[in-house]
Amino acid sequence: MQQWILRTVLIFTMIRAASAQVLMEVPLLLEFPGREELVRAWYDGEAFLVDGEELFQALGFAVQLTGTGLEALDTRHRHTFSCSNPSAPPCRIFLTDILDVLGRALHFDQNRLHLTASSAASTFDMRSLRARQRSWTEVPGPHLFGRTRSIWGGMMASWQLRRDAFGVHPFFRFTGSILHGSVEAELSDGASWTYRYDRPEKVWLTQVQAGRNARGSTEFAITNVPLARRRLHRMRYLRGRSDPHALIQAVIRGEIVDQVQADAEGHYELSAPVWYGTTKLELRTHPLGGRRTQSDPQYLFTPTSMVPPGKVFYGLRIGEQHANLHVQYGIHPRWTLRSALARHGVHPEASVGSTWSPVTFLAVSTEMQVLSAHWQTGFQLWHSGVQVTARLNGRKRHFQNLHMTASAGRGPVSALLQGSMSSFLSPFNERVQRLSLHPAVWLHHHGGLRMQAGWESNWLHGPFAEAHHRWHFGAGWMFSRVRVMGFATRDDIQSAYGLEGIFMLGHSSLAFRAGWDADHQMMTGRLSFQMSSPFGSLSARGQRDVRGITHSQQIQGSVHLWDRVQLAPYGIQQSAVELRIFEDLNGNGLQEHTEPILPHIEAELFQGGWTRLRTGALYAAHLEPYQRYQIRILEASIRDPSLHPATGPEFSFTADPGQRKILHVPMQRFVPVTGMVTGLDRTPLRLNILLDQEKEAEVYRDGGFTLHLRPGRYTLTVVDILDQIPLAEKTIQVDTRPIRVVIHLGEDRR
Amino acid sequence: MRGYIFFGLFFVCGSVQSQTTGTMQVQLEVVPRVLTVSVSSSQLDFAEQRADAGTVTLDPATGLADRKAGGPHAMGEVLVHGPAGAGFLVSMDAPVFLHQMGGSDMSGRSVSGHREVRFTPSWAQSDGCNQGAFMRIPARQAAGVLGEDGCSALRFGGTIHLLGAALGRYAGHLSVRITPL
Amino acid sequence: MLRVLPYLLVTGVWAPRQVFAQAALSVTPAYAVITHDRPYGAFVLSNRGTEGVEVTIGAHHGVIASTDSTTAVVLGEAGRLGDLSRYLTFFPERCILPAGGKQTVRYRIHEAPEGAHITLLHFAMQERGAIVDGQIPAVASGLRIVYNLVAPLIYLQGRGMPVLSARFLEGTPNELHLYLENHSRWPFLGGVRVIQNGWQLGSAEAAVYTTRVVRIPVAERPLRGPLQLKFDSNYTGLSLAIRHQLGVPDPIHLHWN
Repeated sequence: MQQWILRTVLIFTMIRAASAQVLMEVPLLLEFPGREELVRAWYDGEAFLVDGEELFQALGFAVQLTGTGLEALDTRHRHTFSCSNPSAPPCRIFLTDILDVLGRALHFDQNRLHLTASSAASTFDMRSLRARQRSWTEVPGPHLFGRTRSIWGGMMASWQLRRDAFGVHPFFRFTGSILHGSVEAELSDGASWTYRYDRPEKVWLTQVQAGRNARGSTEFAITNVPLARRRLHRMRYLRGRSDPHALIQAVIRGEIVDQVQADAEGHYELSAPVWYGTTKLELRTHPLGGRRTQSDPQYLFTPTSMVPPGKVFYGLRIGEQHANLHVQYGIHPRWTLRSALARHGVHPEASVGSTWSPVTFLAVSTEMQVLSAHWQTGFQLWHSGVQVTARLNGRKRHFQNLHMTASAGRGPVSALLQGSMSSFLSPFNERVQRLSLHPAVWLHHHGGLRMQAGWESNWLHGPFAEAHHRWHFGAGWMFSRVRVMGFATRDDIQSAYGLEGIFMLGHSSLAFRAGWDADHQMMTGRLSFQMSSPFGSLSARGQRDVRGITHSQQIQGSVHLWDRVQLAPYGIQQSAVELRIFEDLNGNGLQEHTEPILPHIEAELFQGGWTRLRTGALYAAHLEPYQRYQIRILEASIRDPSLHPATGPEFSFTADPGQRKILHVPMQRFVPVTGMVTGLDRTPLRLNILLDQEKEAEVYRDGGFTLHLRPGRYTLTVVDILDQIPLAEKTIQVDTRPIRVVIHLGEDRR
Repeated sequence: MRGYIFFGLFFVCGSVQSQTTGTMQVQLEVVPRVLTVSVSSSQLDFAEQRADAGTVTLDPATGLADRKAGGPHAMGEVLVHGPAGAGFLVSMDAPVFLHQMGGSDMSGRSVSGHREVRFTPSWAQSDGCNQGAFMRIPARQAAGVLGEDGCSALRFGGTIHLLGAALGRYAGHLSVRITPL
Repeated sequence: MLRVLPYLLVTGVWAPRQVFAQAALSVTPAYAVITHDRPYGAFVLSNRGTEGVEVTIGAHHGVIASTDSTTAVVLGEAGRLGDLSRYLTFFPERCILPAGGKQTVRYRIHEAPEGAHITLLHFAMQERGAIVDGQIPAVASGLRIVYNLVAPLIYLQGRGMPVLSARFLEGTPNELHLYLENHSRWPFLGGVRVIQNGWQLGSAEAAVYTTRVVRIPVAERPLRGPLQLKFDSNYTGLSLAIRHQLGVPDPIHLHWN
């Protein structure tokens, strides 16, 4: 064995006879921002030696070999080292010598054989590493179609007639887009009207409202609460540390919202949106070298009552008999304060409250009426399918009521537990405590089976003690258009068994309930019918129980007066959009009679879906007013490669309240402009072409660039994106033929 | 003892492999036959050569350069990803000519030697992207098969013929075509 | 053995260098067959890497064809298939894909004469590296390799039946190598099945424009005697409409020795 070792060492030494030392060659991984390279190095048991030429060339220096050593030069530095083996190449330099000179710019990890160049070193460019790819936070794409106003934008008159045991009740309502705002008027038991002027994009005043209520008193209100239902609560900044040069991505619902490459020490900073409701953020780390990706999910819950941090929302309402002012302030991302001042007649009232979310999935809200000392506290807790809500209220130190709801669901089974505890004064001025508990379980199987079981108990403690129990059980089946369920209920007073169900056919439905009341020995039943037609909708209901037979009928409908007269069965003024994508033959951006709508072009409406009208336009209804929606035109459906949307492939619009908004997207033919930047004194990757100081185009590696423009006169500016300085400028005239442009950095200076 | 030496050997080789090879992402394609080509390097750099060197070769199978005078050399490296076992075609141009750069010698001063250098490309392929050795493919076009990891690595090198070439810097470009089979 | 050790050490250590910020380009679909009913389409380029890439798109007349020994991309000729690049317009011709970026390349065929036409779309890729201060541009000091992802685009104006002839080449115990030659101006894209005595020995998919060597994996070698080659239109990625448009040639009878 020992002879064998000796022989090995001897032969090893013989082969390495050229060098005076016995050296083991090791690979040294040189890491610097954006790249990794292997550099040759050697280890003699005590010290490390590096191939000086390879190392310094990798670091961006120009290397010159002198007789006994090496010189590394760049624009700012000049280093000289001596080779440990002057006669033969390669030039080996002791690593400690290099580290002494380059100081903190290089870090050597002996165990991993890594030589890391610091991102703070001036030789390297940090900006290219931190190329961020930020996805949208609210709605991406240029906002091309904002809120449109008109003196007369259309009106909807909706009517309703209800007939029941107490007589006939008519109801009329008018909603319209008038006088740059909206008007609502109701005629039922009195007349009331309201005029609203909205400013949805503003911060300090979003809506002004004036009107008269049914009792005849006028009212005026202003507020700055955002009109569109906000989705984004705030932006969150995540800082951390991971493997050097790893690619870190923040992913929400499968979409990358931000990504950055960590620097040489592994530090990174990302920003991610926090939505109202539950936001599940996944932080993905892709280390370099193809090692396994790590994924860390984080949950954040933001109740809708939380105001974005640093923002103040107020509302002021003044009427003849009353006035109130409420203010909400977001102190902290997890804490909102509320306060209100009111005057009802001569009684003033003030209240303060707050909503606090100390940990994820828990929200605590409190409210206290200052003068009357009533307080109210609520807790909300969510976690993996279980939801618990509790509300307590009381006066001063006396607790009056507690309501609690807990629900959980998993797969087809869901359970609900409702409980309440209250204490009140009976009519005889005695204190009574009441406890009620109501658990219920449902089974909704995807195959159609439905089962339900519930139990309700009430206990009363006081001068007398009482307990009431009630249970309910039902089982049935759900088919595609029919749902049938048999039920049984029993309590102290009565027990009933029966069958209930609902038939659905198109827009009509028929619900029935037939039961047998065992205690009163009679059949009970209920039948309700609902049908809608383009002229209106009809619903009728009849019921038979211990008290006799009752029935009621209702018809309702509405008429739209804008664009054309239209009848509709629903009663609410809805926001809709119509997208007309047409071929702009004369290039003026307006649709003329000769310019048809292109029916084959598809578009995506984020947060909604389209139907295609007979004219070829795309139509979407039931939009939320004031909300921004994004449209993306699917390029693959355009077919003609020379047609391009003048709006760009992605843009957003604001849905007008109660109006059908018409969007025109002209498809135009652009003229290709091929260009070349010459006289380069820097790498073309740093250059961008600005068109009239606005749109940017990137420059290719060979200095070329391409633009697609409408005929006209343009100024092209070449800008260095690192220094942000304009380098050259040229004015071009584009007509209908393709042109070539050459911009020389030296000659075409501004 | 022999075991320890072998262990040390494998450790060094193995650790080198784990640091330097690896795929960025393995793609799962719903549409068949789609390949993803990842470029690690598209520069073939012969660095500096002595004018009397005759021929200088960058061997894509071993990654070594033969008879270069100085400077770091580089070879073109590409990773091809796709469905495991899928075939693909690689083809290259016929011998390429590198031309001398810069036009400063156009003044009429005679420079000895011609201004073109002939370059014969060669390439090597490995089965899978993690541990395979590169095998030299003798033809200018060949079909390859993606390994079990859905990946294959290609490396491009070649030989330049310096006989009678004038001094100066040369450049050119080589087209490589990759087609799914 | 002992002498080999240090050499092994050197070779093992001297592993290939790799630069890790990579651009990764893929083109979907990998090929397209269109007819005069819908003479347009789109390719989607996507860059799944961590570095930007510049893509230059060109259309060249050519075909994928085999000789007895190799299969290769052949430019400049395509047998009896026409040159589609003359009737093709596409947009864009050049684009930049940042890391994670996507680009749709739309194309359209203008009036083409009767027959089948082919073009090979070349997607030439070049990485856009990190911007480093002070680097003077663009003059390559070596040989730059331009990698091209090639996607065949075939256009059918009208319908026709491909006419194929076949012969077997030297294969391996597990694979039959079949040399197919197309004598018509219509391409064949579909499946080839080898049947002997009513028993299917193996099948494979093939795209035969002019000539093609098809490797058919078989579980066992055929016996001496007659063999049948049957063709169908099962080619991965073809829609039903296109399959109806492409013709399926008649079976070919061969003899196995």
